[in-house]
Amino acid sequence: MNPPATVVVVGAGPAGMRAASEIADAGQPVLIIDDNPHVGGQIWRTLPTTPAQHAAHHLHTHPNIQLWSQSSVIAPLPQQRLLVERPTSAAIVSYTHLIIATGARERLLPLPGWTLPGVMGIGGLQALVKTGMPIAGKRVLIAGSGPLIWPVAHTLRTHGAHIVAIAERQPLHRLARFAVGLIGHPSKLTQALTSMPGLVTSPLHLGTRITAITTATHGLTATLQQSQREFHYDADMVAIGDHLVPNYELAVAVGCRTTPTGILTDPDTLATSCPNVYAIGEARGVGGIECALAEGTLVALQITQHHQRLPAARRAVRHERAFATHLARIFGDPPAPVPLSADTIVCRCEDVTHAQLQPHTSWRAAKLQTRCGMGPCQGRVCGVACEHLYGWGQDAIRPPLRPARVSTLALLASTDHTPCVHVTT
Amino acid sequence: MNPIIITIDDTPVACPPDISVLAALLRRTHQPLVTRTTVQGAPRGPLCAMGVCYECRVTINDRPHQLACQQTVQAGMRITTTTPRGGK
Repeated sequence: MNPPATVVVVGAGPAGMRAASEIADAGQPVLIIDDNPHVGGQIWRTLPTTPAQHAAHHLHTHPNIQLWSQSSVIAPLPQQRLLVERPTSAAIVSYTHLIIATGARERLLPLPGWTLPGVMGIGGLQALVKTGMPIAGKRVLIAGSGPLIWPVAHTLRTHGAHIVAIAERQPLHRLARFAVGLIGHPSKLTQALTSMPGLVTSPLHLGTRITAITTATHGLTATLQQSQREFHYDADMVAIGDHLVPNYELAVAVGCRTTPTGILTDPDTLATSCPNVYAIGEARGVGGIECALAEGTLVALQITQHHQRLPAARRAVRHERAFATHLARIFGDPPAPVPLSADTIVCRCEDVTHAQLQPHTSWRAAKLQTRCGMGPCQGRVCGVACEHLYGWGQDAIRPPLRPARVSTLALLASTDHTPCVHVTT
Repeated sequence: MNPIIITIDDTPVACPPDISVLAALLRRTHQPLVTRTTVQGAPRGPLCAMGVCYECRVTINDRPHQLACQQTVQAGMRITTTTPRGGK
């Protein structure tokens, strides 16, 4: 049978874990749903740090918390319900409150050669190294933008990778502004300083972007561009990624209003534009782990009506969100598109090229004519790319939010569970 | 911890427990990993490693389209990539 309505948290990263724990501690049952085999989200993924382990232990053992790992929301349903696919089953769950803590993903933008095996996301490469991929002795070029570059370079180097170079799109004066902004956030400053020293042995190119990747005799050759000057590096792996974008597909499908930087929420309650639906952490806007934790606490206090602790929790969120605003100011703006060749693939799932997409005027027309965005990733990669390259907004997110088994969808047929489709502006 | 035995493209392979299927595939090759072949026949490897891009989808225990980055290896697991073998 389907469980009774409870608070449902989607995403077991720091924000979702904190929210679930606090609600459970206040005596309310919580269901937490997460895609991954392990809790912790992308940042705490298998990280043997004390706070991560403590939070994970709490999640696994608390009698009020039910954890569904390797499970995905396939569709929001009317009357505060969700269709959820689990590893070998599916369920329709009802929520009293829905907390969207779906995190962020890397902004991976097309460039000639980005589909070659050996080209990976910067954060993705770090996640893989942390989950057991050997990197020792491999030549890695890191080219992109964002605060992720430095800790990733540090991790890869610690695991024995040879970082051939680091290229950051932002020029020195913007990075300096970023560093100055860290002064009010000591833990972030410490983080930045610990990952820096080991990196000075790698060539560092600021104000430099990657414009192409080709195959070389051994591995790959990347073309970097600084002003009008072009130069090349050979590497076994090329890590790319331009900052992060929120995972807001679920929020949009539920009907929440969003902005390009995240899910729109009331800053004091973290409530979205949909009743009983809240958004926290990176999905609300990229702001880092402390921000995610502070918002996890605030949303839990809000839902459990713990009025005494609310003012302090709101102050903490406001302080951490100031850092998010700072991050967005430095790294948020998308770069000018890299010149693409006619045959550069934009939609990786369906092999749709730049030349095929160029004649179209909207995301919808391109989807219908070329199958762009209709592959398994459901436009998660190419949707962001098309908005960047052609200025097309994604007009709607339609369930299923992820490829699902027929048996999961068949659950809908048994009753009146018609998926709701909302169009956003 | 003791290694476990899994099967990758019909070949038994020893690997540590608790690593991702994708990491197990990557441990086996010094070349860039190819997990699938596209509709146009191009080789692709993992991109996001976070369950977003679906480039690492493989067949696990006869169930197709499983994300290698989102699953942990289990003893006896059978993994099949769609890497073209013998030319295509």
